[in-house]
Amino acid sequence: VAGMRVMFLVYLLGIAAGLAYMFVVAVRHV
Amino acid sequence: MRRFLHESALSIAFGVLFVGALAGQAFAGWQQFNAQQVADGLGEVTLGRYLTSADFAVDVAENWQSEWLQFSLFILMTVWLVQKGSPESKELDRAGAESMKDQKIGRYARRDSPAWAKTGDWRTTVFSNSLILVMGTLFLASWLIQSIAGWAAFNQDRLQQQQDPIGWGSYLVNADFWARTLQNWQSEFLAVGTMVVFSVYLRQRGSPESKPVGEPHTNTGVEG
Repeated sequence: VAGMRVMFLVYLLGIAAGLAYMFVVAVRHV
Repeated sequence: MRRFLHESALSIAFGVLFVGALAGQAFAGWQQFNAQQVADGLGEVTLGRYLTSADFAVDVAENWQSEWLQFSLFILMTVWLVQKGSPESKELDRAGAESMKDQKIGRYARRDSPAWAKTGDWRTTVFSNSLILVMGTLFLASWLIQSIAGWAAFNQDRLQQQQDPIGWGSYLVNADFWARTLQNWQSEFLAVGTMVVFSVYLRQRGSPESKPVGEPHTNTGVEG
């Protein structure tokens, strides 16, 4: 059960971090 | 640890593939970017500079948005639309949101059902649609980022060619935005359609994405 939660959070937080990174990069160049 | 690797092998494998492919895209994209810089008579940039460029961001974001759109549509459309013979479809007479009993909601919830399936109030409504809510949000967020990064990259090209930059609203109706968007969408829709149709007559032994090898072609909604 703990493993399932770990992978869920790795994906969700990883995606959120990736989107936040691209958003900051994009806005900086505007 | 061995048990974790076994029980999460599928998500770990795709995570590793993703990181490897993204690293490859970063390196190849950097080389391609510098080749264009040289062709334009401009200086080459470092990898770090490329990874913080709007060009890299728009290339990543345009692919991300189309993947989440694909799955969002697949999740939503398979609620109501069926395909006879496909393991990706429900049985033909089950189209729709289905009953509380079938979905184990409210008083039909089991003792080990998720807590928000049991309450029967707004929490159950939210949890009942949580997959499409998250996937849809990721689609919209990455499409928005594509539009901003694409706009910035587009204007950088225009400035290099001594042309005036355009506004974000103008970029949203510009061919560059829609060419990037639709070239990704078309391939996603084709891939999903292919999966739905091919899985009627073709099999992969052992895969839950396929029907069992001996399952009749006409049987719908059976996963192996």
